[in-house]
Amino acid sequence: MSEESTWKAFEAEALPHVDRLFRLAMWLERDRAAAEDLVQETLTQALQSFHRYTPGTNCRAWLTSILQHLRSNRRRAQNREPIETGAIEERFEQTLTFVPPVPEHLTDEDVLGALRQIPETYQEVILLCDVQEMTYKEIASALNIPLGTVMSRLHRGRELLRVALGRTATSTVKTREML
Amino acid sequence: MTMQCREVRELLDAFLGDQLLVETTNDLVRHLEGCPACRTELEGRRVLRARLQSAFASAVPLAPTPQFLNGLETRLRAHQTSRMTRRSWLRSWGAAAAAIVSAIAGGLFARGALHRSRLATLARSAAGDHQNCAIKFNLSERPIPLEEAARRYDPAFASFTTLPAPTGLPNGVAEILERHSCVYEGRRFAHVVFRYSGHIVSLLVTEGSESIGPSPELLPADGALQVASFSAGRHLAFVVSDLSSQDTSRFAQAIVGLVSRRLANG
Repeated sequence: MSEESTWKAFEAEALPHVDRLFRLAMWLERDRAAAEDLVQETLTQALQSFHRYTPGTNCRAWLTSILQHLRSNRRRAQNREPIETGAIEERFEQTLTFVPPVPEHLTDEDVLGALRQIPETYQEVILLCDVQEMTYKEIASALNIPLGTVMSRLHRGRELLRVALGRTATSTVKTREML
Repeated sequence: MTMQCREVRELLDAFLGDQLLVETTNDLVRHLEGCPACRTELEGRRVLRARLQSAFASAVPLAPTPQFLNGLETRLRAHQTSRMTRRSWLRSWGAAAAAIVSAIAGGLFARGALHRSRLATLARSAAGDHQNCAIKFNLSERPIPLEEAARRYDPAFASFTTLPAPTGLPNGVAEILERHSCVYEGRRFAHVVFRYSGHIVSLLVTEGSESIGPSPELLPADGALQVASFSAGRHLAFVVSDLSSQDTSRFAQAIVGLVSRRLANG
């Protein structure tokens, strides 16, 4: 494939996903310069390895996987590996006895605020699944964790999100009543 | 076997994400048809998932800036070009390089009689270097890094290892694609290649005492390529491109200060 045809294919397949990719990077990094740097490097690597991408497959998942690997490498280099979740999961297993129903009237702020309240490990896996729409297998590959861990984290993460949303809804109702 | 509510609820998110086997999906759907409580639960999860997606897609603080998006494509394309092998990326310049010979030599011959012969020889060397080093690989010496050339031949070449792309250009950002030093017909050059406004621009610098002014001067060209030249200390510089004469001149004007300052003591 010539340089120009590679670029055309990359432009058509990969570049439409930049907005979502950036939003994920921005959420995870919480810093605009770091997010820009991460997305730039992700796309540079993707362009270099574009011959490995199979046309017609999930390009967003492929790009997200590259982004996650880069981020993981960077964190390792900075000694910022994510906290081991085994203990956390065990703790929630013991404390999570009631999962409230999803509140009826949810705002964007409610949802994003609740997501921020749960541990980063669970945020990450929920975003990859529900926002980036990756399969469990793709998430396992991107995060370099077993498939079963993906599923248990998703299950636990969603329960935690519901609990956090329940708290948000309760406080909102109380605020409304006070007004 | 009929699914129980507890089992169904464990699978609802996977169901929403279309991650279940067909058989499991069928069992789950059968349960949902007869269980209003699980249908309500499913609807709640569907709403949450949709809200999460919409919140993420519309949150202004998470959005990339237009400046980042605008520059991204340019940076990616420049990077892609710089990664091409020397042979492949310069193969595409073949036609242009052939024209450089006539453009530079022809332009220089039109200058004053006193030094035009020597300048024409120099220009031919510069163009020949460009063509032979980059396209034909038939130099007597392979191109070497500027650092090595600075150590072994001309210390002034070290200043080109960090020469930035010129700024303030009217048609966007210039990107550096390649830097090296090469020899052609016994003359050594520092060669920096840029991409600007979708065109390839070469800066060729060599030692020389021929009398070219310190301000960029556009040489008359008879082909599609434009050449601007200027002197800096004991060095001569040529800017060659297939941009318009006006844009080539502007590019030379933008880079002359950077080059001159670095070569002032050379």
